[in-house]
Amino acid sequence: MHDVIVPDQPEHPLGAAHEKRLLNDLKRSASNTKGRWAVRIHLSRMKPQTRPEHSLRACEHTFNTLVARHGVRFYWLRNFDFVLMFTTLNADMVRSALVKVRFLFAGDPVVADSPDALQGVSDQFMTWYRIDADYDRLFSQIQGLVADHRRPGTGAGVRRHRHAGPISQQRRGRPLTASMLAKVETALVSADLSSHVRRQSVCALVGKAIPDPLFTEVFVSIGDLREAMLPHVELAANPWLFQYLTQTLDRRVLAMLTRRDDRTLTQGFSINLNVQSILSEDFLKFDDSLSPGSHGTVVLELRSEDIFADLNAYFFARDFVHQRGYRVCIDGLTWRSLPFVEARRLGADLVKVVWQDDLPQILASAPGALAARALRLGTSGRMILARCDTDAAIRWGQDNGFTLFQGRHIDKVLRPLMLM
Amino acid sequence: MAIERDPSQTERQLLDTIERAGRSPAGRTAVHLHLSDLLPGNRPPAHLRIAARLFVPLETAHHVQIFTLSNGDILVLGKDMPEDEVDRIVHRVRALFERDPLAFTDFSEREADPFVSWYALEVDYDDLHATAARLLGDAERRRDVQRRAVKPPRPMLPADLDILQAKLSELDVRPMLRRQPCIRFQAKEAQIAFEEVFISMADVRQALDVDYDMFADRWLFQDLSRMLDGRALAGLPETAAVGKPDLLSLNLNLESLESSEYEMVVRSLRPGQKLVVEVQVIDVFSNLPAFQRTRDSLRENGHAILIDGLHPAVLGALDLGLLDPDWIKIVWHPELAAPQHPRKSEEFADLVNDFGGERVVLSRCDNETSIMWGLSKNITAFQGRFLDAILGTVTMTKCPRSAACTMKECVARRSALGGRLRAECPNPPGLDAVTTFAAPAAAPRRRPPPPPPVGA
Repeated sequence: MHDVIVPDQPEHPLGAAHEKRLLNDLKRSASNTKGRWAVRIHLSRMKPQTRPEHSLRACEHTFNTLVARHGVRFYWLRNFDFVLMFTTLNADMVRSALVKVRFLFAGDPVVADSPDALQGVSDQFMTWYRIDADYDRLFSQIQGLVADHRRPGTGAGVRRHRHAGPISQQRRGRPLTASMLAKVETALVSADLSSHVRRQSVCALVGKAIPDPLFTEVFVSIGDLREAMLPHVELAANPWLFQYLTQTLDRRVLAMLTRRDDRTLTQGFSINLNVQSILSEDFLKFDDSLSPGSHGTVVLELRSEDIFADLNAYFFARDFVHQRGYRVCIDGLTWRSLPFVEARRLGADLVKVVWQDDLPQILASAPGALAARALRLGTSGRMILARCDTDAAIRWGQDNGFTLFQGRHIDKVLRPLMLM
Repeated sequence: MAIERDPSQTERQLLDTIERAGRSPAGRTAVHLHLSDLLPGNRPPAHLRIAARLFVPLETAHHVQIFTLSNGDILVLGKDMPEDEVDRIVHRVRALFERDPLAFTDFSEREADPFVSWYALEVDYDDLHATAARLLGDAERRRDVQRRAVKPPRPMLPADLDILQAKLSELDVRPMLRRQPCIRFQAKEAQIAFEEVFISMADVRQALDVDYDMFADRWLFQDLSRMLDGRALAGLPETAAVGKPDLLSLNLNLESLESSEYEMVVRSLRPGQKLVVEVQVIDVFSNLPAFQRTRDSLRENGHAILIDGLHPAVLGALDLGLLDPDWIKIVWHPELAAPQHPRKSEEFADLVNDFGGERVVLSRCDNETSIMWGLSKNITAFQGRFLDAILGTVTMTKCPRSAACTMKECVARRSALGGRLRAECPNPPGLDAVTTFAAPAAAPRRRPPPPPPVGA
């Protein structure tokens, strides 16, 4: 049994995320079903021993070119089945790839020799869907799968900021260990991060005017990522290993942005980074890939603990990115850390203060006095009130000199406007 | 970088390019940035890479050639280079390194700018050629030395950490515990303010047969330090008896103060003996409420908290008074003593005064300059190898059995809390005998010149 690695996870690490993505993609293609096909490969019906981890990887690898070059879509389901979506145009290529897959798993009785299976006739190993005829059947199956997900949080998910707060409020689990971290690091190399990437606008909001988007924060939803890769692990339990993980995420996000997988992100966005990541080759490549003149519209968000951990490196990185035209935002300040972080002293362009429902009461109390003072002394045009989930947060912010806001409430107000 | 490339290759290409350019020198210029003269701490490879990066726009727009030399220097060579633009970039690079004396612009008119040299090939060809030839020679020598030297270890990875953790739990760290005094200078004498106890990482490395760089990643090391905390605390009660300083300082993660091992250490203190807990600033900012709680509870029990490893610039960037630790420890950086450090020097004394000079420790003092500088900034407590040497000298002078010992041996034995090293001393009680010594009498206290009289 040594060379056979039976997956020790009860479900595919990417399954939950992919199921959601599949459901979204199905919703989007509801009106465009002609000539579209899907096929589900039932690896779950096989014995775990006959689908070792390396075969799963090989299987995914078989479709890499089709996914990258021909618009074929690949989704893992949590039970280790996978689904392909494609059009008649590349049906032949998909068929020939499926021949390889059948071969890969030929040792299992599920993969019986059925001559018509590749011609669109379902068998025990694969189920075919003509999207125009079978849309409802596929949609309801996937909807059922997604409905089973335990919700990791609500809405935007947990950000990649590391506040002990929100993450620790999540379901408790085993603490992150170095060996898990090593596994995640390996998985991240090939993982498709795009399904965990979220966006949220930072808007100028004055009086009753319509929110005016300044830039869009692009971030990896740690909640989703955790759900996909380490569903039973408490990330916040080990802040240092978590910080290490964020450095890996930095590299992946920078690479993703450098490749411009997403063409809507050419300017006016912000990313979360570690100071050390700014000094890395990955950042320089990213910097190269930005079109001249757009650097000024890109905001780099850094956390205060990272800044103070090596102030000299921060100063160097800050001067460098300022020279390149970027703007620097100090991210994730709470009422506790706010008094210690003066944007002016640190030469930052923006600071992001985290809203919490009891913030007004805290600021009025003795422990919050320093934070209240820091807010009064802060420059309003430089301070962003983040995580505004309610209208009350915005109103309080406006009463207290904030003009820049971010949060689900802003998203709600913006959404109908974006569609116009 | 799979193929090992001759590190002097760039220098060779440079010399070659210069020789070819010499055939038609008209309009050709070279700019040499002497980044290898930056203080070592200010030129990590990542910083130098970024400096070279700033010239890249010239490369594409003006066919300028950029040479990043193996010593860290940058040489830019081109024909009809837009001088203003080059100058602007040089200025930017200088700004990046503005904290280094090399980048200071207060050299006199007669001196050459130590940061950058300009060459017009029509007139300076010979100089430039000689410079390039010298750089090549240096690079080749460095290469030969490097080839003979052991390869730098690879960085520690998460998987290593996992293995280390298992090994650490079985490791007896007691022989690896070391101490280093923090010494307070008073008017007439110097006195040990507290003794810091820590695990010698070199010993841990050796004992666990580690062949990678444990310090390569800050966060992974920080996680390792959590494991080490437990081991050090567990080993301490049996060794802390040594010397029995009134104040004992320990490097700990905040969370380690909640462990049963810490409780044991506290219980093993003799009456009147107190602790200074040294925490890292990352730990403080990662969990401010825990820091504040810990600080208050330590104080209630007569102990103290110290924020360790601060860069001098922290004093200007952060109002440490608000964090209100009992002590802070600032790391000595040689550039601080550069005679004409811009802006900072007087301002720094004010910052020290604002926080309270008696609460500041200057650490890693390797030479007398650091002590002199500290005293001139109203700092009176110091730690570092220079002081270890002084204490070693005094210890030997007072020890009746020191004839066979060297100063290095005495310092090493004094630093050990137990184990073989300490056992080698012919007179172990002598290692703890010296707690005060006369301050260097002749130490001139270089104070900043008094401010000009008001209204002058």
